[in-house]
Amino acid sequence: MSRDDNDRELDALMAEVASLKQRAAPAAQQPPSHLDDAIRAFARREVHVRPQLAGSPFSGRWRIPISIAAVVVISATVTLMVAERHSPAPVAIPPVAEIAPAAPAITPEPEQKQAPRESAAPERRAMPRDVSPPPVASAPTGAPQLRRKDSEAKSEAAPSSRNGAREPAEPGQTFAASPPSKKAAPQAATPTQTFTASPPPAQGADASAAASSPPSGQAADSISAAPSSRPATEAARAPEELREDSKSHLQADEKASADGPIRDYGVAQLRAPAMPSQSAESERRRSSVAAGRVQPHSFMPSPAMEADAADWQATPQTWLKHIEALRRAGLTDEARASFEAFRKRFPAFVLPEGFVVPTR
Amino acid sequence: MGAESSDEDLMLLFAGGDVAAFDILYERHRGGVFRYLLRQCSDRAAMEELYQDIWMNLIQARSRYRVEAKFATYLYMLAHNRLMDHFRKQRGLHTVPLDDEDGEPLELAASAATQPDREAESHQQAGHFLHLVDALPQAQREVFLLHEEGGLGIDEIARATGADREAVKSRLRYALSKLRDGMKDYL
Repeated sequence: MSRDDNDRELDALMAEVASLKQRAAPAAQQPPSHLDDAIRAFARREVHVRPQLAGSPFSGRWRIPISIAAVVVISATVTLMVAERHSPAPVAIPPVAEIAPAAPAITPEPEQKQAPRESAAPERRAMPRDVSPPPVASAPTGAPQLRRKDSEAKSEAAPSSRNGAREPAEPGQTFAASPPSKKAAPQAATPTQTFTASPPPAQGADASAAASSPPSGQAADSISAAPSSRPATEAARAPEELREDSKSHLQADEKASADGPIRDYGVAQLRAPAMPSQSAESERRRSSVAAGRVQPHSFMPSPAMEADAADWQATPQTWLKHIEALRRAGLTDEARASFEAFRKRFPAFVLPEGFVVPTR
Repeated sequence: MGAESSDEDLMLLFAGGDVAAFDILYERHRGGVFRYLLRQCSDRAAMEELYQDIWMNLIQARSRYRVEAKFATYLYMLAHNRLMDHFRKQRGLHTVPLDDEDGEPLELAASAATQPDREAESHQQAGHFLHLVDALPQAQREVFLLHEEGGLGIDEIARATGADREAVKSRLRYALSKLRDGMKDYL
């Protein structure tokens, strides 16, 4: 029998039984009423307690995925917020200009590397070693004509930085001329800036001194980190005034050169911008600095310093610096008088090597 | 919504919270489900409990209803599964030969004809028919009832019971043949 025959036979049977049932089957039995009532009540209860909206995007199969997505988004947002809140704040690094607002004309010196070490204890420095020169706008970037005795500058710095304390002065302690008064030698640079002159590079006898000096490239850093070793008044000095002083110093140096070892107390860099041409004396002094015979310094004395005697008389070192400044400025009588007063006050103080006692 | 709405539309409305749609749906299929269970379950109390459970399951699963087949197929699928669960809990008499492709049960299922109330009906033509239905093997009886009471076709019966289509056809053929042969005296 084929499949179609089977289907036709089955259809015939179904039709025949259906008629038999229609004729012979009793009244279709129905469920009892109590079952109907219970089922209808249950349906109403379910709809009222847990209403479900057909066709709602948040019903059915989308409910769970949307819920999961919402939880993930919220969790990620909260995590990011917490991470940002706990992230360390960037450390504010002051710009270099604020740290070292030095005159752009100032040539960085190798000795400036010593300045950071000195800055560690500025209060201990009874004799500031260096005084920054005035901001001379026209200062060439090249090496100054007159340079400090680099080795002497470092030797000054080394013991002072190592020893820390400046007073009482120790035998053999070197020093560099410094302004006795805060009003002296005003400079455009900040009081925190100090630097020292350095000898010109690659000059025979300078090699030994220069080798021990820090690279000139680091001078700027030392300048920026230099302690406040200069009186604030130096920053206010006019370039013209400093140039005049440098000229007078040059004359004084020439005079003092005959006395023996020349001590350059920091006049070199101040003269450099205004004295492009180098004299024979400057050359000799530069070589002396390089040879370690001269104490380099960066101080530009000024008669204005005389006014504030209380500052430079505070320590023997500052007093001696003041005396030296007077001597180099040509004020020999004043220098001698001040020296005599110094001796009365500090009779046991050992004069540093190289200090020239003012004479008549 | 109305009496002319299809079972599927009414079920979707009920899933959306329309209780009136359920009332119409229930009225249409309450008798068939009841008789489907009545002809296969000897215990009246158990049968009523099964009946109530089937409709409660439908109500609770209303949100998951999808129009993938006829509503009747879905309804009797629930009924079949609940009935099979009941049979598995029983021991001895109510054994359901689910895998008999020929439709002949391995064990004769309990028939409602053994019930005292059914004995009274056996003396009448109508009762005789019912007696013949009760005497059918369970698999054949179920297929017959799904066809007669549920109005399901061969494919729908196969889907509701999880059986093969050919097996359903075979069981139905056997059932119809027996009923026709049993009613020869009344034709």
